[in-house]
Parts: sequence; C-alpha cells; structure tokens
Amino acid sequence: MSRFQSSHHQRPEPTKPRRVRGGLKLNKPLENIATSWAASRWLRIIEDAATGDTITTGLEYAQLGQTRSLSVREGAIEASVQGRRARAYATSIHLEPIDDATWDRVEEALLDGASHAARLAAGELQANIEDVFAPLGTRLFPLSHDELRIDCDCGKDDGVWCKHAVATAYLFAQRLMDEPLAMLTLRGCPMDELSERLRSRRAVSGQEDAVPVYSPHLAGLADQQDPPLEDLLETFWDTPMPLDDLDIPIEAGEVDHPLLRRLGQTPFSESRFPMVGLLATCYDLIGERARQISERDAGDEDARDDEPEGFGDDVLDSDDPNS
Amino acid sequence: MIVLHANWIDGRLHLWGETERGEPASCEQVRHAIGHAVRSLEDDEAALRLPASESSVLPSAALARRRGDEDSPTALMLRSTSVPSCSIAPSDAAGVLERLLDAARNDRDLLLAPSVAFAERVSALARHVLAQQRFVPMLCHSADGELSAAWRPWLADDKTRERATRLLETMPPAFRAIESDPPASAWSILDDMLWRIIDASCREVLEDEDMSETISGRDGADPHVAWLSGLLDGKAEVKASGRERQGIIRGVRGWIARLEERGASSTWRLCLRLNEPLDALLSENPQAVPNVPWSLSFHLQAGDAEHVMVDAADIWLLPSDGVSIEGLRLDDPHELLLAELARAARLYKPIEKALEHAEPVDLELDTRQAYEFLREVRPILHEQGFGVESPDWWETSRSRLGARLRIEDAPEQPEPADASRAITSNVGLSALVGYRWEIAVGDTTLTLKEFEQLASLKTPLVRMGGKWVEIRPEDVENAVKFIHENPGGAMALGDAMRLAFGTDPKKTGIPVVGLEASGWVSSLLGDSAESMPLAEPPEGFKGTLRPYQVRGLSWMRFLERFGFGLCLADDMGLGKTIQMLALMQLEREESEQRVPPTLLIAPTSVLANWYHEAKRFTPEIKTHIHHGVERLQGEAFAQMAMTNDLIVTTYALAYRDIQTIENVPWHRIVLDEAQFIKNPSAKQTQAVRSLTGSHRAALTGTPVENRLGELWSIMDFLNPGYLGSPGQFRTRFAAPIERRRDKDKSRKLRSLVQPFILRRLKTDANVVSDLPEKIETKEHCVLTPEQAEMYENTVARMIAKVESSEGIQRRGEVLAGLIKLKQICNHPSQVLKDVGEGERVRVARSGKCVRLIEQLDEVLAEGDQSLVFTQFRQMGTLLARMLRHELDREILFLHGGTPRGQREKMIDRFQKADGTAPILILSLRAGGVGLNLTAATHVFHFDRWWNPAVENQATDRAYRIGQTRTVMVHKYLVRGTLEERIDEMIEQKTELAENIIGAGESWLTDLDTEDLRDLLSLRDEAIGDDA
Repeated sequence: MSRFQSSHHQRPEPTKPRRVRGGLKLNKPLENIATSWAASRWLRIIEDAATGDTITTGLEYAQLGQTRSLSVREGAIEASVQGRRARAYATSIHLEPIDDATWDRVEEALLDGASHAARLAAGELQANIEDVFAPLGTRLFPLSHDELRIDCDCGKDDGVWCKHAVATAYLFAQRLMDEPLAMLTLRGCPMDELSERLRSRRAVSGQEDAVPVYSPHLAGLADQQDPPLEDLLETFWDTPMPLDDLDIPIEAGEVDHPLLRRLGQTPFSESRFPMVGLLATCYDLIGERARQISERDAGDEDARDDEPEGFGDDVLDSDDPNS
Repeated sequence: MIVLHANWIDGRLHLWGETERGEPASCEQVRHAIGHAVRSLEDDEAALRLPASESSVLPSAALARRRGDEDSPTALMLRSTSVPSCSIAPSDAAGVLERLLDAARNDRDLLLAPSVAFAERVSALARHVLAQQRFVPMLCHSADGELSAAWRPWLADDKTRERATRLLETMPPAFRAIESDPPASAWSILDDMLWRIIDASCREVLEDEDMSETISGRDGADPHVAWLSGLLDGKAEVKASGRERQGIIRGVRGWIARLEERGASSTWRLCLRLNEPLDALLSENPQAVPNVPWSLSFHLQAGDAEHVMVDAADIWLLPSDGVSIEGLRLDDPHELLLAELARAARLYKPIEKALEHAEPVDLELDTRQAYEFLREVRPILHEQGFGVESPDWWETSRSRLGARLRIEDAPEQPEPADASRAITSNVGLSALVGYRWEIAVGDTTLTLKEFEQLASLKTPLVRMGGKWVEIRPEDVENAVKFIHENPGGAMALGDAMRLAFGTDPKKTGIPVVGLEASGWVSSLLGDSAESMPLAEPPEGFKGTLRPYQVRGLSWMRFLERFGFGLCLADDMGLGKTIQMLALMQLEREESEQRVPPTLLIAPTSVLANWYHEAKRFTPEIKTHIHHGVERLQGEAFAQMAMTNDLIVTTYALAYRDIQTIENVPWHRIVLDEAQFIKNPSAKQTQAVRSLTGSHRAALTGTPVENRLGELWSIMDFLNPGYLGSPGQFRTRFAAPIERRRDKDKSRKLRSLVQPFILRRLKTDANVVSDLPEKIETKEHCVLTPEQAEMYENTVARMIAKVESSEGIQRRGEVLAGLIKLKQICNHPSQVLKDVGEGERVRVARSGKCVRLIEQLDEVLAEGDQSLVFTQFRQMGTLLARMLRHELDREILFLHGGTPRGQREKMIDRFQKADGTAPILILSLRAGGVGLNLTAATHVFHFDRWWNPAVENQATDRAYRIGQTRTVMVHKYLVRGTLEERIDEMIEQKTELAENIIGAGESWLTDLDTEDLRDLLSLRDEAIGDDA
C-alpha cells in the first residue's frame, strides 16, 4: 500500500469542497498508476515535495474530481481546481523547458537507436530514456521537486505545495500513464518536428525491426558493456571461457507452463476466444518437440543401424507377453 | 582442409571459411564442408572486421595453430572485409551446427573455429528454453507503428538468466566482429539469435499441427484472435486499426509485465512455509495419512536477508503503522501482509479461503493438497518472487521411487584360471545369475506386497521408516505393472548389468536405480581394485612392485579368473608394462601346466620397449618380437610361438599376418596403446578383433572413459557386444553425452564400464604415497626405413673417410659423422633440411617423433605440462612446428638465441600452468642454467648428451625445490643404433663409460676404425618397416 495513507499522519477533519460536475477524476488506484514507470517516477517527486496532510487532501481532491480542467504546455501544467470557495483556483506547476539546441541533439540521439524511435512512434517512452538525456547534460524528469515551481491563487505562499497543486500533480501522473509523451511536451519538445522527423526516418530506413512492447529487466545481459574489439586482438578468435563448462540440459522443467501459470488470464476480458487454453496447448506441443528433437538427433541416420533394437530393453521386451 | 567460422548477421547464421593457405574459402567450399543439403542455405557474403597487419588480414588462431605457424605477424588493427559465406535461416541453424560438430570430431580436415562451437551452444540454449517452456508470446511494434507478434525467450528468471549470462561471457570477440554502425553489442547479437531461433522453432511446430485452424473464421477484431493470428503460423502480422492498436499494446504489455510484478514493498515479501503434521498425529494409524493436517503458514520475509522473518501471528500483534525489525523498517505490516496474500492468491487459489479471516495466519491442507503445493505451486510462487520454505526431505533423490535389480545367487567362485581353458559360455558376462526386481525408495527396499499396500492408500506422500516419501501417482502404476511383468529368474550377468545401468526409463516406466549384489559380483562392481583379494608378487619378478602395482596385478588376475576382458588405463609412467609382465609371470608360477603364449599388439614405436622391459624385469618370460622382413610365417611361427611366452607384434602386422597369427591358441591377446583400434571399420581393428584367446586385455594411458569412440571400440574388443552395436551406443550414450552433456547418461555409462577399467592417476592419494619423486624410463624407439637407409649410408661414408684420414682431420670426420647420425635418429629433415617455410613436418618419417606425439597426447589428456629437451636448435624448431600442428596447441620454444625479455615471458606463461601453453621445448644449453620450471611433471630428453650429469641438470629444472609432484623422465633412444649402444655402456658402467661421462663425446674420436664400425653400424632390429 502507498505510504501516503500511512496512519502516522493525523487525518484532518474532512471539510468538504464544493462538488464539481464532470471534473477530471483520479479514477485508478495508485498502485495501478505506479505500474507505469513514467507515472511512478513523477509520483515519487510529489511524495517528496509535499507534507502528509497536503498530500492526503490533495489526493482526495483528485479522487473526488475537483479539477475542472488541466492542460500541459511548454514549461507548465495548468489546472483549475475547485475548493471550498465559490471561485476555482488557478494552479500551475512550472518546470524549466529544455532549450532548443539541446532538443536538437536529443532528437538526433533518439533517432539513432531503433528501439527508442520505434517506441516514440507508438507513443511510448522507454524506461531507459534518461540514458539519452544524461550524456547531453540534462534530464527529462526532474531529479527532485526543487526543480518544480508552484503557483496557486489559493493564498498559500508562492512555491509551497498546496492541496490544489497536489491534486494537479496526481492527475498529471494519471495522464503520464496513458500518454507518457506529455512529459516531452512539458519539457518543451517540438513534438510536431519530432514526429515529422520520425516519419522521414521511416521512409529512409524502410523496414525497421519490430520492438517488443515489453522488455524485461535483464541485469547482467542487456547492460553488459563490451570492451572494444580493438583491445581484444590477441584473444580475438577464442572463447574467453571454456564452452564445456556450460550446462544446458534439454529436458522438461519442474512444472508445466511455468510462465503461463504466472500470467493467468489476459486483461482482454472482452474477448470471447479462450486464448490461455490455446496457449497451453501450444506450449505443450513446442516443449515436447524440442525434447523429441534432441532424442531423435541422438539416433542420426548414419548411426541408425539395422541391428535389432536392443541394449537392455531387448531383455525387458522378451518378458513382454506381446512380443 | 578448411577452417569454418560462424557469425550471426541480419537474422541469419553465416558460415564462412579459411583455406589452409589462409585465403577465404569459396561458397562452394563452405557448402562442401557443411556436407549435406540445407533447405534455406544461400550463397551470401559476410561483412566482418578482422584482425590485420599493416598489409593484410591475418589467418585465424585456429588456422595458425593447425599450420604450426611460428611468430605469425601481430595483429595491429581491425580491417573491414567481406568474405563469401553460406547463410542459413534460423530454423535450420541448430541442425546444421550440431552436424558440423559431429562431423569435425572424426574429420581432421574440418576444423571448427570457437565461433562455431559457440553458435551451437546458443542454439542449444534456444532449445533448452523451448524444452523448458520458458518463452512467451509477444507483441511488437515497428517504427511505422505496425504491429506484429513473435515468440520470445523469457530470460528474466534466475536460472535461465544465469545460463544466458554465462553464455554471453563465453562469446568469442570474433562472433561480434560484424560490420555495423554503431558496432553490434554482444548482447544484441545473442538476443537476436536466440529469439529468432525460438520464434522459428515455435512457428514450425504450430504450423505442422495446423494450429491456425483454431482461429480461422473467428472475429478478427477480438484482441485474442488478432494477436494469435500473428503467432500460429509463418505470418507475424497483427492486424489492428489505429484505435485498437493502443488497447492491444497496453493490454499485452500489462499482461507480460505481470511476470516481473513484485509486491508493494521493496524490502518485504510474503513467505509461505509448509509445515509437516505433528508426529503424534501419525504414529497411530498409517491409514490416517491422507487426512492428517498440514499447515501452510504465512510470514513476511526480508527479501535480501531471508533469515529475517516475521510470523503472521506476530504481525497482527504489531502496531499497524509499523516497526523496525533488525534495522529494517516494516511500514503498515497488516496492509502489506494482506496485499501480499492477495497477490499470491492469484497463483494459488486456496489462499483466498484464508483471506476470509480478518487476521489470516495460515492455511490447513490435507496430504494431497500438501503434495500438490510442493510439486506444482512452490516453483511458481518462488519464481514470482515469494519466499517458499518446504520440508528438507522434499526434492532429495532419496525419496524417489525406483526399481532395483538384485542379483541373488551368483555361481560359485570358479577354480583359479586353468591356463589352457578357452572362453566358455558361462563365464564372464555370459555367466548366468539369478535376479529379481525390487521396488526401492531411496535405501529402503519394499516387497511387492508392501508396496501394493502403500499404493492402496492412494496418497502421493507416504510415511516410511518415520520419514515422508514422495510416491508419484504415475510411478505407482508403472511400478506395479513392471514388477508383475518382470518376475525375475536367471540371466547373463552382462544382460543384468546393461539392464541396471543402460535401461531407458521411458520403456520401464519407472527409473531403474541400480544393482545390488553379493559375493564376487559385488567385488566386481565395488570400488574396483581396492576390494580385491591381494595377490602375492611373483617370485620371478626382478624388481619391486609398488603397492598400487600389486593392487593392479591382483585386479587383473581377479577379472581374468572370472573371464572378463580388462583395460588397465593407469596414467603414463605408473608402469602398465611391468604390471602386465608381472601378471604373466604370476600365472606361470601359479599354474602346473605350461601356459600358452600371450600375443601383444603394440604400435611399432614401443615394440623395443616391451622387449627391454621383459628382459629386465621378467627374464623367465621368453619374449619374441614378430617384426621385420625375416619374421616367421605359417607353421614356423606357430612352433616358435608355442615355445615362447610373449610374442610382440604391431597392429599393421597383426592385420597383414592374420592367417599366421590366428592359428595359435593364444592364452591372452593384449592391446597396448589400445586407442589404436578406435576406428571400428579399419581393417587393422577388424583383424585384431577377430583374434581369439582365453583372455583379452587392453592397456592405454589415455582417459578412455572420456573418449567415447575409443571407449566403445576397446570395450567391444574386451567384452564383445557389451555396449551394443556402434549405432546403439551412439544413440544411447555418445550422442546425448557429447551433444547435450547428459550427466545421467554419462553416469550410467560409467557404471557400466567401470568394473572393467582400472585407471589410477599419478595424483591419486594412494598412488602418490607409493611414488618416488622422480621416475626415469627409457623409450626405445625405432628408425623408419628412410632413416635406416640414411643411417647406413652415412656410416659407410664416414668409415671410408675416417680410414683415409688422420689426426685432427680424422677427429673432425668422426665428430661430424656422429652429429649427423644423431640428427638422422631425430628426424631426416634435420639433415636434409627439406621442409620449406609453412610446410608440414611429417611425423611418420621419424620413429622418435611418432613416439613423442603419442606420449605428449597422453600427457595433455592428463592435463599435465612437459619439457622437451633437445641438443639441437634446428630440431627444436622442427619439433615446435610439428607439435603445433599435430597437437593444435601453442608450443613454447626457448633456445640460446631467445632474447632475455621473451625468455622470461615464456617461462612465466609456462609456470602459470593455465593449459594454454603446456609444452616447452628447450635446447639443452639454454635450459641448463638457473631456470625453475616446476610446472612440468614430464621431462622428455628427445636426444641424448651421453653425460648423465648434464642431463640431470636439465631434468632438475622440473625436479627441484617447489615441485610437489612426481616427475616422469623419458629418455629417448633409437634401438640398434649408436644411441642404444652408448646407453648400454653407460648402464653397464664399463671403463669406457667412465671416459664417456668424463669427456663428452671426444673419446669416440679416439676409437680405432674397427671399434667405430662396431659401435655405429646399424643392427637389424632398429627398423620399423611395416608402415
């Protein structure tokens, strides 16, 4: 569960704000929102910024739908949040945009790697996107809340997080979950230009490799740093470690369909086709074939002698009444 | 000859080659090397970056080693280059690679670079992932937003990831040296190769099974149908409209992400512990077992410190906002526990029941549920990041059910071998033994009735001897059926052993877990030589047998007494020859009748050794060498044989003179260096196998158990039919062991052959204590006909010159002649200088070289290091080239002209003893002073200095302070030449020898011509002419 609700904060007496019809609501549980890496990175910043009470009420405002509107433009998230007073407050969260020259270089870098480009085209941000920004001396997400500036006409001191700002921030997190590129807009990325360049790049390179929609975290593999080949001229041809030390058995696992069981039903509850059942059959067929191949190989054509099948089994077979 | 390399480029396997001259092989040559038709093979090109000097791309390491290149130019840079290749689709890659590895095992002209072996391991990992079902359906999108589907490996779980990481670490740099910008990372290549092979394999299976039929006619807008349409056959495309696209992407991403879903807390996780029922509930009545209560208790556990664990019962007593436990903050423990239980309930439904309680603590299970939890649920929960603790008896092999073969009444121990007896039908592996099958659970044996009682409880976990034991439901039925169908009776011992160790569990339905025996069968199967009754060393043996040699002798006598063929495979230098001689001496002392002769077949290179060793250690064993142009034939041979005890001949002559040889009723056929018969279809092998004798024995110094081809051939000679036909052996053992490193098969094979092979290593504790610090042996070699002719001509010319000269000139002639003779004994090329740069040095032209290769082969197989001394720098150069080529290893050569810096580098590498440079050649002068080379345990004196002091000084490089192992010293000399005669003189410590030792070779120059002629002229036995 989220720390925001932990009980060592004294819950304030709820004094209800005015109801808003058709306001923007935080309609997903925080745990769900946190599964989006972009949203969770943003959430972490709010969590550090505001104090317990403010967070609790801000979150309630967001969940109640007190926000009349929310927009994202270069350098600011602007919202209109309804409180107890008649007039809604104009709240904004400011973040310094990245300058144009840097954006040019970011774009170059983004377009260079096939996977980032493909993700961007699909409206996605890859979790390691900061690897593109960091070498250019900047970051997409603010490192801490110090980089954010709050402006609200509720009367609190400028720069202090109020519940309206917190509500705005939560709603922006929800926006990031569905639309992570909003972060690029906030940072002042010339989005039209970027998508144009993505399109033209597509035209040049033609068929790009398709990128999986989910890539697991593979410590020790995907983050492996290769020494330059030029430094390895002396051992260029050889395996750095003996291959024989690798144990790669071809046999069934401990349980059937280990991954399918962990996955459970798909999220496509509207589908009428029993996919998981079919996949189970596929897994069985494929696994069995892989094990069979390795046995079939064992008796290659050249080795398949015409001698009677024997060696142990013939002795057993002779006891078999059917033989 | 061709060296093949592999690379993975643009989703295909590229095979390319180098010819012996270092040029890129043509597509045609590569295709020829692949050797069979491959559907997807295309002539192609591979763009690579290869090591080059200033001027050109350099040959690969494998080629340079094979050619014996010395001082090949250093690689200075990488050069972009394009070579002809054959490219192969992912679906065919695994098959092609496996076949190549097989083919290269038996074909010296097909050399595979490490990249090929590496690529094969990648395809093996792909197959592992498939067999273990560790792959997922995936959705992909391309840069233009189009969707497609793929089967992808799921490597994120610990075991698979570890395997992949190890594999990535073994990638040769050459495998990623493909032309691409930016450079392709090792991981991106491995990842691409893995998923493409996996994707292709999955689609192939599903297409064969017409799985796409299942969705034909279904609503294409249904996200399941849309996704599956890209998975079930060759088409990867997933059709979705713009609106649907985001939904399906998000859905698939969220679904697959569940595999990495961990709880809300980064510190704490749920741990489930399965607790056994209390003993008190069990002791009363076995029938109660199915219904005794097990409990699955809930805990919160620190993920990084598993010992930090809080029981659920305690959690409900904690303040709800949190505490610190062992320095770890635990916030909101109540909510965390509930959230974690809800997460686990998704994978294990019964937990939902526990969640009905306000403060859940544990869950009660019956025995069947407990079993299901252990076998099916535990691994899944564990992988999903939960802690799971099961009783410690679970998963130990002790508790698994199996069938065990019991040999009940072996025939009485027969009388000591009657020397004249021929092999009859009821000894050895044909001896009939009574047997029955038993059900074994670990060490406990059950009668059928006991077992059926247990089975009738129909519970997968039973109590036996106060312990819980797993009885898999599928095993029970098979076991009952098996025992009913195999009631027992009598069968040949060989059959029983094959049944116990060689049976395929798929046929029996339950695992066969071994063999139990008593009496002599148990001795045979026991810890070989250690449990045998000890024999008295024969009186007629001159010399002292070391204790382990007495054990070897006793073991051989025991096996022969029961009619088994045996293989003595002791490390080189432990005295296989004298153990065999001692056995022959012993059987003569034990037998009242005359023992018929033994036929010993050996490589030409060791004939002389046998003769000398027999003469020295067992003078009563009358030995005859059947060799040379004047060897006896037909009846004369038979008569000669019957009046001798040991007839030694070569493999070549055993084949050529088979009709003469097979007419003698041999007492024993012995194969020395028995790996010579590794090719079962060779004529020599077939001739040798056709010979009959009362006993058969093999001697070899190579680790025969690891060389499966040799193992089959030798075992089939010793105990015909025991390991089945070559095809059966290949299917059952060789292929699974070589290709898949199948440990179970390997263990079974060892159990099968272990009773008949005695192999002691120099390093074995009970051998080491018997060994002196240094063992010296002389290797009596022969001359090839070419060498012999050169030798005789040189002697004749020398004598003529000496006769016609005087004084200093005469001395000069003698010295020059002597040096030339020694060089001829080494290798004709040392005199003729007829091997050009880059050409091979032919081993077969020199008897010493043949022997040296044989011995070094064994030393390398034992993992030991060697020093090879020669007086001549030229010979050192020839040897280095020859050994590099023959042994495919880097060979160090240190001579007087080696610069100091390089010399130190060489010595450091040799002393590092990491297996990369296991042989160091030294010219005697260079090696004489100050070096410490204790990483060597074998010292070869390839030619002789005739001064023991000088030789000892050289030997002492290895045998000096810091040496902890026995050093084996091998002194080479050629039979019938001056080398042997001078050696004899030194041995006999004649007055002449004193002079020799004192003055090097100068004394020779003072001999008169007649003495000189006598000393130098070639004696008949020197020539090995059967090649």
